[in-house]
Formats: sequence, C-alpha cells, structure tokens
Amino acid sequence: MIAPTPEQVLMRDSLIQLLGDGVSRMRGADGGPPDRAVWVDICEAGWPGLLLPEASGGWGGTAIDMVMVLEGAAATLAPEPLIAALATAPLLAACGTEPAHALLANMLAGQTVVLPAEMAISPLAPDGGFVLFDAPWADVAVIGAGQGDGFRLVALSSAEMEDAPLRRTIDGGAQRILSLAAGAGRLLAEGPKAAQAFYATRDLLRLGAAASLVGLVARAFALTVEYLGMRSQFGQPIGAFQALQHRAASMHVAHAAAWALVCEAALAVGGDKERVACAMAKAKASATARGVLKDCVQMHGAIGFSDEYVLAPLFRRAVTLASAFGTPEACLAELGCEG
Amino acid sequence: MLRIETEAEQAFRREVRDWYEAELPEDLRDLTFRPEPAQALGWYRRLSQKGWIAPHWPKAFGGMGASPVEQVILMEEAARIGAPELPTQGLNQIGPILQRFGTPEQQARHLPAILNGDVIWCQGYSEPGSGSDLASLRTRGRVEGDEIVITGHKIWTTWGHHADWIYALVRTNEELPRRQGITFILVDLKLPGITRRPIRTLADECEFCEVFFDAVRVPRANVVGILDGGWNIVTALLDEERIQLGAPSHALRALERVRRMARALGPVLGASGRLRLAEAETEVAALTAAFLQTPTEAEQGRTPDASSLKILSTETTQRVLDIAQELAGAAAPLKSPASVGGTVIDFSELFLQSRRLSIYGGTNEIQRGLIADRVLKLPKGKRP
Ligand SMILES: Cc1cc2nc3c(=O)[nH]c(=O)nc-3n(C[C@H](O)[C@H](O)[C@H](O)COP(=O)(O)OP(=O)(O)OC[C@H]3O[C@@H](n4cnc5c(N)ncnc54)[C@H](O)[C@@H]3O)c2cc1C
Repeated sequence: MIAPTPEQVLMRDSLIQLLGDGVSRMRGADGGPPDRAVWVDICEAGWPGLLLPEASGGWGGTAIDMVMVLEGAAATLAPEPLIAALATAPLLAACGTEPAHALLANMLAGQTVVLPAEMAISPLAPDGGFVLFDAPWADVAVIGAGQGDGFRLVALSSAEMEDAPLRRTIDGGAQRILSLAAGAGRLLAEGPKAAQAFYATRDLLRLGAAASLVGLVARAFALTVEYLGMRSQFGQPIGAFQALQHRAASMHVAHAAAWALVCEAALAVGGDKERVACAMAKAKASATARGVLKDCVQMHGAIGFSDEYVLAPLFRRAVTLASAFGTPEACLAELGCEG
Repeated sequence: MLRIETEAEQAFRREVRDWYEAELPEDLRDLTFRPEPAQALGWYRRLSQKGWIAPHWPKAFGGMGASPVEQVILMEEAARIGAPELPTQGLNQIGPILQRFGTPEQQARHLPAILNGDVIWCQGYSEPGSGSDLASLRTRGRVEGDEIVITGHKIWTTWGHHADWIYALVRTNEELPRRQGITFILVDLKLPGITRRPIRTLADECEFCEVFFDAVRVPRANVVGILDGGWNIVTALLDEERIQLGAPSHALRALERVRRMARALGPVLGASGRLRLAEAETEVAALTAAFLQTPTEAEQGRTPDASSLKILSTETTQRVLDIAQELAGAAAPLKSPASVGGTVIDFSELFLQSRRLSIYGGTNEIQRGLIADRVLKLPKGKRP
C-alpha cells in the first residue's frame, strides 16, 4: 500500500490544523453565504498553488501530493472548496492570457473564489447546462464548451449566475445549474490547447474527489470498528458477532481496493491513461463510499441514523461528493465509450 | 400487482382512485416527510370516516377486514397520487395487540380513539443500553398498590414528541429471569414526571425522541396481559410490526418517485437508466407478490414468515431508492424536491430516510438470525 512520505504527512497535518473544526462550519452553512475566514487563511498559506510550478508561484506538487493531502483532510468535513481550487489553478495558469492570469492572481490571494462548472447530467437540466457545485462560494465560474478549434473557456461573474436558482444540498452546500448563452461571460482561452488543459483539470477534479471519498470511507470505517468493540448487546461486544465481523472485513477490502486505485490513478496523471485512470478512480471511490457508509450506519443501529453523531454528516458529505465532479455512472459510461 | 383483478377489485380500485383524486388536499400530496399532526390529522379523519383507515383490522373492531389484494390496491393508489405517510403505531402495532391481549375496557377505550385519530401512540421499547437485546431493558416499574411507578429512560421513540400515549415495556420483577420480569403497560404521556427531547435524524427531520420517566404513577389497570407477562406480547407485536413493515407501501412510493424521475430525464435516461428502472419495477413486483401471500385472518394458524417479509420489503425499498440516486445524476444530493415540467421529484430525502428501514422493527441482522433459527432451524452453536 502506498503510504504518504514524511513531507506529505507534514503537509497534510498542517492543512488539517488549518481546517480545524470543519464539522460545525458544515453544519452551520445550510446553503447560505459562507464565512470566508478559514478560506483566506488557506490561501494565505499558499494551498491553491499546490499543483502550480514553483516558477508560477506554486509549490510544484504532484498528483500524489494532492491525493495524500485531500484523503487526510476529507474527514474534517470542512466546507471550503479545496478540491476545486487545487484543480483549477493549473487550468488558469495554462491559459496564457491576461484575463486568466489576473483571475489566478486574485484566486491565489484568496480574494476571488473560482470554481469550475461541469456538464450537467440531471433531471433538472433536460436541455443541458452546467452544474456548479459549492455555488455559494463562487465569485467566478469557469465553463468549458465546444470542441477542437471551437472550444472556449469562459468565466461567468457572480452577477451572471444569480438568475439560476440556488438549490441546497444535504451536506450544507448548494448547487446551481448554469446555462451559457452565446457570447456570455469573459473569454479566458480557446482552441485545442485550452481544451486539453480543461480536460486535465477535469481529471484532477475527479481524482481529488475520489481521494476525498476514500478519506471519508476511512474515517467512517474507523468509527465503526471502534463502535463494534465498544457497544455490547446480548452480553458481548457486537463486534463478536460473525455477521458483523464478515461485513467489517468486506468493508476493509473495499476500502483498500478503492485507495489503491486512487493512488494508481495519481501515478497515471500526465500519461496516456490519465483520463481512464481518473474516471475509474472516481467511479470506484464513489461506489465504495456509497456502499461502505451505508453499512457503517447500519452497524451503528439507531445512533447511526441520528444526526447527533458524526456519522450522519460524514454520510451526507459522501453522498454529495459521490455525485459531484463526474457521477460514477457518467465516469463508467465514458470508459465504456473509449473501449 | 400483476395478477388479473376481479370485477369487484377493479371497481374498488376505480373507487379508491376517484376518491383520492377528489379528496386528497393538494398540500398533502408528494410530501417526502410524514406531515406533523396539525397537518395530517384532518386527512387521517377523512380516511377514517370513509372506513379506509384500517384496512387490515377485522370488521368487528371497526376495520375494513380487507383482503391482501384490497390492501395492495389501497397502497398502490396512495403511492400513485403521492398520499402522505401517516402515524402508524396505533393502527399497526398497539391496535392489533389490544385486539388480541387487551381487556374489553382497554379495547373500548383505545381502539375507537385510534381509528378516529383522537390519540397518537408511540412505542417505548428501546433504551440506550437495550436495542437488539431488548430483554436487557432497565426501566423500572415498582408496584405500589393499584399503581405502577415507572422510572427510566426510553430512546428512539418514533413520533414520541407528538404522541399522546406510549405503550412501554418496564421491568417489574428483578428476581425472575430477564424475559419473565417484564410488563407491557399503557401510559398517558400527560402524566407528571414525563419529559421528552426530540432527536434529529440523518434525513434532517425530527422523527424520534427520548422519553424520560421520573416516578410516573400509572394505574395498574393499564397493564396489558398480566404483570410480569409482557414478553409474550412483545414477541407477538414484533411479528405484527414486521408484517406491516413487510407491506409494499414504502417500496411503491419509492418506485413512483423513480418513475417520475425517469420521465423527467426523458431521452437522457439512456439504455442503462432504462435497465435500472426495469429492475426497480421487477423488485417491487416480487415484493408485492410476496406480501399477497401473507395469510388472511381466515387462514390463521399458519405463522407467516414475518422476518423474510421484513427483510424483503425494507431492502427492496432501499434498492429502489439507490436506483433513484443513480438516476438523479448531479441532482442526487439535492435537499428539497423540485418541480420539473409540473411533476414533483425528490432526490435525497426518501433515500436518507430509507436507511432507517433496516434498523427499526428488529434490525435486518437480527431478522436473518431469526430466519436461521426459526425457519431454517440451523444448528445454534454459540449464537445468542
Ligand atoms: C428511525 C427509527 C425509529 C425507531 N423507532 C422506535 C420506536 O418507536 N420505539 C422503540 O422502542 N424503538 C425504536 N427504534 C429503535 C430500534 O428498535 C433499534 O434501533 C433497534 O432495535 C436496534 O437497536 P440499537 O439501535 O440499539 O442497535 P444495536 O442493537 O446496538 O445494534 C447495532 C448493530 O449490531 C447488530 N447486532 C446486534 N445484535 C446482533 C446479533 N446478535 N447478531 C448480529 N448483529 C447484531 C445490529 O443489527 C446493528 O447493526 C427506532 C429506530 C430507528 C432507526
């Protein structure tokens, strides 16, 4: 199993410390305008530059660094849009245009939150459109549309998003479905090179979400194993019942497989199989999270169904993240097409 | 239901459909949560006046004495129109128990009040230390003359904060083996010494609560069955509860939501989405078929395999709602229902709520143990 290096452990732990009590910020959010204090700290510490080359003011980190850090940070349940920020900075840097450059500078400084929107597959978007996750955070949304020479990467300002209804999600966040009228938004870049950078960012988003999902699984599973040892019924710890032991063992196997695939995908970033690997990682991590988190609730009994215990927000975040940045079904469908 | 319906059954279905269309208030349609009493009881009473509130109760006690087919027709039509979930503890649990074990006075006092929606009941079994192992319960009932003085702590009490009465299990004898010292008792929640605290759930609703008893004095006449003889009643009630939990009503409701979502998706549904929908239809058809096999009153004596039905029903509902999550795409985590082309679609709420189905009424692990013991008669080994 791939373990984090000592440097990665240091990085991860400093981020976890910065994020602090994410659960209460998540619980407090409820789709409203976010409190940006922690976000500003995160930006001041330089986090959105993790994947940028040192020459562009970043840390020169790798996809493996990102995966290690996000896996560890996920369990804080912090609502800050970390995955999106890490994955979007390289896109803006790659544009090579003045507007993109200015946007990147503001983003790194913590003044502007730039979030990518993705093609919507949703009953609420029968005519297409783009889903913006964590919408209350977004000052600017970036949208990629078209193909080849016709590809355009545009930025929508918050004023241009306001008309789309804000819909709350169960993790305390909210999403909007944006439409892109012809000529709307500010052009950041166009053509095949921009498309390539855009798809690379989409891969990073999937990978980052997959790593976070595995982190949520790890946390929920650890709580469950602990509970199996603590809770007694029929005069013995429930962890002594073989029905639960076998289930826990299966969860352990499922977690290990998902984590291995996420790490493998991180090692594929930059190569020919990057797209396939990131889609697989997202599909697998999402399916694992959906399955394992349900079992964690079940094995806790009624306390697992109560919102007064931390499992409930972990469950809701996992369900939310499983459908964000490429649903597992969409990722698998794409793999099928590419044969 | 796939079978050919008789003419009488077809006529009943038409009557139910027309009546629902005409009578069910708009603001009670397509709700994802059980409406609170103030909103729900008017509708409960309309159903009661119509004679349809207790399909599975015998006619002698004011029920419909409905056949399983008629029950399924009512459930299917309720799901189709989006009728709300109503309080069920009176109708499905304590009602049938009083019919079997209650004194004539207890029956006369409580059964009509359940049918009329005058009294809401809740179930006081579980305690912080006693869930699956119910017989370990510690809430005390001290006999003092013609009163029983109750002190203790119940938890996970569904709708306890809305209820008027609770039926509870209390330990009245510490000397006897643990299953023999338990008494089944009816308690008016207005009595002094009772406090309640609602608990929010995973689905962000207040579905259950804690109930604290501090020296609550209850008349001894409220004991159901005999003192220290509550465990037999519990076992009977749990079977009753499991048959009702085995009814396809939740699954039908879930299926209706999946159908609507599929319609809203239109061509985007795709080949794999159509397979998922077909799977959901098939699973619910199997559950409904199994429910239709439950013995009617006339066939009593045959013990229905209540545990199998409970597992089948709850896990079918969960599977259907998993499919709903898959079809919902990026909308899967949306908190509130939304209207698409005039139809209301909900995304996460039923799914989140459905996690409870495999926990309450005896967890599905416990049901599997019961099937192994009671139905399959597998060797016991060291299983408790
Ligand atoms: C929504 C909801 C509503 C409820 N409403 C009511 C109500 O109205 N009144 C009431 O009295 N109670 C109610 N309950 C409580 C319910 O009856 C209990 O949750 C249930 O009996 C399980 O008990 P527990 O939660 O203490 O879990 P535990 O018994 O602690 O079980 C924890 C886990 O261990 C497993 N386990 C336990 N024993 C065994 C075994 N021998 N073999 C294998 N696995 C085992 C369980 O299946 C579960 O997965 C409700 C619960 C929920 C979730």
